[in-house]
Amino acid sequence: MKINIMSLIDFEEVNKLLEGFNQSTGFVTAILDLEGNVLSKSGWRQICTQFHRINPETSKNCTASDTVLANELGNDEKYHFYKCLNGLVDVAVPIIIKGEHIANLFSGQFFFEEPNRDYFKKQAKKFGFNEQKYFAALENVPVVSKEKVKIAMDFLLNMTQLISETTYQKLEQVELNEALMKSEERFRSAFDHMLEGCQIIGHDWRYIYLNHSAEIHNRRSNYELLGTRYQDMWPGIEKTEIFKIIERVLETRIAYQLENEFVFPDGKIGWFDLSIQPVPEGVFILSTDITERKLAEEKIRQLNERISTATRSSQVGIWDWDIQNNVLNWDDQMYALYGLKNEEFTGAYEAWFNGLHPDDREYSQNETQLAINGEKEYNTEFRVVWPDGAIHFIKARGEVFRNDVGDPIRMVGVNLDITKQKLAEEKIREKDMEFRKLSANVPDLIYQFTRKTDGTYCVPIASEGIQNIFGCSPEDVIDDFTPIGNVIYPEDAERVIREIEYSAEHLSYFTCEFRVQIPGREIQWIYSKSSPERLPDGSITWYGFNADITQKKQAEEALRYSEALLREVGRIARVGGWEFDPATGHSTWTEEVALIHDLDPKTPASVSLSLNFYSESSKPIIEKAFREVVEQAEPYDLELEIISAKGNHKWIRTIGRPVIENGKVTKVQGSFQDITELKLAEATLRESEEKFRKLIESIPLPVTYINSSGNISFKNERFLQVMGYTDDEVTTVNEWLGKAYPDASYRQLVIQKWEAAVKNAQTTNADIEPIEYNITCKNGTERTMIVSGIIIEDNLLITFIDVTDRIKAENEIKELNETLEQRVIERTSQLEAANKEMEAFSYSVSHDLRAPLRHINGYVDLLNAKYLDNLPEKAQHYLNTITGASKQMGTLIDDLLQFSRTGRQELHKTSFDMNVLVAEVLEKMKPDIKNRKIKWTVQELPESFGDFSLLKQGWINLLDNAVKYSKFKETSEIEIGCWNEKENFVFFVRDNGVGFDMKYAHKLFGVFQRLHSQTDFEGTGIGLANVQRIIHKHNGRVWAEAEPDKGATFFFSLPKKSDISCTN
Amino acid sequence: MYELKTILLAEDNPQDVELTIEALAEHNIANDVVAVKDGVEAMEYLNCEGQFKNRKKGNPAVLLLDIKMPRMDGIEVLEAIRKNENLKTLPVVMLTSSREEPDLIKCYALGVNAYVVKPVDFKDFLNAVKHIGIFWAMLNEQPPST
Repeated sequence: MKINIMSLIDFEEVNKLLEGFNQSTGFVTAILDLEGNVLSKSGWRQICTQFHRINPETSKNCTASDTVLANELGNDEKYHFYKCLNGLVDVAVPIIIKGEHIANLFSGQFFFEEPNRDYFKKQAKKFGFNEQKYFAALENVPVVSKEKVKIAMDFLLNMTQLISETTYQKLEQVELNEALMKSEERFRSAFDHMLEGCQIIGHDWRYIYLNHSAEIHNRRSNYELLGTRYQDMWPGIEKTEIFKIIERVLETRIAYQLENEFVFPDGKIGWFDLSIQPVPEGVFILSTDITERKLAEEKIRQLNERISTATRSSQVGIWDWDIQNNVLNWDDQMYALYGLKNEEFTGAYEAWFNGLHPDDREYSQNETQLAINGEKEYNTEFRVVWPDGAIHFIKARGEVFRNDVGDPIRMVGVNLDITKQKLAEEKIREKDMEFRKLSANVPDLIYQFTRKTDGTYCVPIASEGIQNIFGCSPEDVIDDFTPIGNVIYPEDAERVIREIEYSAEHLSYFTCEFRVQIPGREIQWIYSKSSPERLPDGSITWYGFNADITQKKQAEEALRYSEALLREVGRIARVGGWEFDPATGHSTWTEEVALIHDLDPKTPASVSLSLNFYSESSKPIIEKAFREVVEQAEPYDLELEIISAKGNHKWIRTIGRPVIENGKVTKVQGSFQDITELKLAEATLRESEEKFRKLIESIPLPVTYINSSGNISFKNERFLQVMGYTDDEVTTVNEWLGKAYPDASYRQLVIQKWEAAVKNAQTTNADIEPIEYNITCKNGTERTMIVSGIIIEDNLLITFIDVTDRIKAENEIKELNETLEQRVIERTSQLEAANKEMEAFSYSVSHDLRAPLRHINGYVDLLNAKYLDNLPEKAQHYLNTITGASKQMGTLIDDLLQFSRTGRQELHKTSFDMNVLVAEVLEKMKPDIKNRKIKWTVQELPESFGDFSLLKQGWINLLDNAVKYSKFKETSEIEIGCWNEKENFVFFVRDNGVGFDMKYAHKLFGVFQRLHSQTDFEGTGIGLANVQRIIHKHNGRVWAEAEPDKGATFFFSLPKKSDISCTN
Repeated sequence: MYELKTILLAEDNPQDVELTIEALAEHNIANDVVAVKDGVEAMEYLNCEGQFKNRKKGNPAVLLLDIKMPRMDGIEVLEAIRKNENLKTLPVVMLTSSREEPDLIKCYALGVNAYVVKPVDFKDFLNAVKHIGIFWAMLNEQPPST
């Protein structure tokens, strides 16, 4: 057991401890087992190691001392001091582990008093030691007090304890393991719920344990962290202080505590109070999140810094007023602010008060009172008057402190000298006033314009002229651009902003012309120019001016307009101007002159060039005239002919006028006008007059032309012919009236009517209304004429229409008409009677013709049914023929009946969908054509108006025909369609059947008319007649187009629905 | 078996009479058929007058009535029947040669029970007569006798 215990002690560690103890205290130590074997020793004295324990005899002493003497240690004795057999003092402390004394811890090899040198001299002699060396070693043996030894031994006792415990722990390790595990779990559980973060990082840097708080501090879950290496979790951490610290703790096993700023990968910063301790597994890190505290501290620090910086730089004075005792404490800065020395200030409220500018005292007193009353924060400004008379501006702030019952007890605050600002402000105000005064009389706007960092605009400075330019006041735009933005002409606004932004970007001059529309004013043109400057805060400021250039613009515009007008007038009138200087021979002309010559408008003027363009006949005239104007100052105005550069003959009017100075022609000015069209117009007019005359002559009516003075200036041949007078027999209106209307009273009536008609025409600006007059001709016959006319300026063009013969004819027709009506009535009643008869006839036909037919059929069938077997084949054939004939007869009768009914039936017109009607017809036909191959093409048909059932009959007939006459085609193609005319819809049915020859087309719609044989196409020849009847009853039209073997198309038109519904 | 009632046929044309009777026989309609030549005779039969004074009492099962007849035409007969208290319930079927709109309107206005156009084709005629006979003489419940 002893051996076991010994083997458990880590003597290497013990040696280190003992050595450390020896070095720090000078005490030598050793551990010896109960047999005297040295298990560990440190700092042994030379006297022992080189002499006593070397010599066999003295060595025996040593051993005896170490064992016997040492073991004499009493049970209740803490330390056992004894003198060794070689004369040194030793001390022994037993090492007891688990109650078993297993070894002794020795110290010693010292003296309590100065050694007896004689004794040692004897020793040297006795044992043959080199005395000199022996004494040298003796000198190294310290002499210490018993007290000091005891203190050292206290430590050694503790050390013994440690060794005991170490050993004990090792011994109990196995036994304790289980308990430890439990305890660990308890700890772990406790750790897990701790608010502080607990984490263990292993020697291999892997996370071994983290509690919940540690997960939060790491911003990572256990899942991610456990087993991961610290440096893998936090890339780049190797370079940080914390990593080095952990590394150091891992190596040195010495705990470390620090505050650490940790930057997470997401850039967030956390502050942690870290306690890093070595644990067997590696390091244990206890972390407390102090981020919030740190942030608060940082804030406070910054604040403090700012305050101190502020007070330092702005020279703030601090004051503290004990209100109840009226003691006003000032710091040094305060005295400086008031220009006082310490001793000049009494330290009372009144002392401060007296320092104030007399004008500010009452106000300041009041402010203080308000603050004390709690009615207002103390934040005021006042002036102080320094002893030297200088006035300083002070800004003061303060706070009132109150006791428990709310009485003010103290007031603490600061003062700040703001004289400079005030003066600057004053200066600015003065400058501002100067600017205002200077600029007030300028109608233009002088401005400072700013583009703020947020991109908005404002005009901090504007002269009064802004009223003229933008219709607002300088105050309106100090921080707001809207009043200006609102009046810039909408079409120009974008351009203005663009120019501003360009100027801002390039820091180039801003120049812009734009329009402004101030409500209630004309549109103004504004010219703006300014230069920009970029301010440190990123805003941009322009200095410049705006001027109203409306008048200039208008003048420009007017000038442009009149120039254009002149050019335009010249072009329209084809007039050019020219000038000639006789002295130099130099001439100029306007573009129009060149243009009239068909020359390029830029052709330079030249008199000789111009003269060359005159025609053969005109040339001498102009040459003479031009010579005369130059030489004799004789002006000219000529109409001449030129042949232009392009060979066009043109008539021109050229005017030359001398400019005379000092009796001398200095210039010839003139105009040059193209009058070709004018000339042409004249000729045209002449021609037109001639034409008119011829026209009037050619009219087969009597026509006269009367001028305003009542003369008949023109009478055509027809007039003279009809009236029988010669040209000079009726020269005036009066003459004519007298002759044409011999009866005075009738003449009066005629004049009255005529004058009224003329007057009416004049007032209504219309023609003279035609009125019938009875005119007596020269041969005495009276003719009825309709006289009408037109007013041409003050003249009258009068036409006479002879209606004598017409009136006579009309009367005859009137008589005829009267008898005709009577005749029509008679004929109608005859027709009606005939119709009735016809109806009765067809009625009997329908009844009586069918009966025999039925009988023939009946008996033939009976024969067939009852006696067929007895009949010879021939007889059967006859019977078949009879059956066929009677059937044909039956169909004929049915068709005839249908036809006759159609004639009699009244129409019941409705609006209906023609598509529906046709669909019904096709549906009805289906059974009959089921063995036929027919390709139907049916177009969309319109909403129609008519008798549904009659039209249906019509469609049946047309479609039956189409089917029937295309039966020999392998595939019949039948198309149904329609087109829209103004008043009708035109429907058609087209087939690809046998068609017919158009020369028989007129027979198509006649009753019993057939164009094909009964053998090829069965039929009665009534179907189309019936169609025609139905369509005619609807006021429609039916027709057909065809070619033999190329199909036929049948058309019919059907009037659209109108308000006037027509029946037959 | 109850007694089959008479079918009265008013038809002036003997061929029509024969063909009608043939047609009825063809379909084994065994009722007695009495044929009269015009409206006057028809009324005499119905009122048991003249030559029919002694006939067995009772109205026929149905009157097949042609329109165009001498003396008194079918429409006049129909009108008389409907005005007569004893006869007004008698089933009357117009059996005529052609479908004339005015006739049709008049007949229905007078309360005719059916209006049949004699088909030209004999087979169709047979069919028509068969249907008339079977319906009116055999299927149709007679009005109560008065």
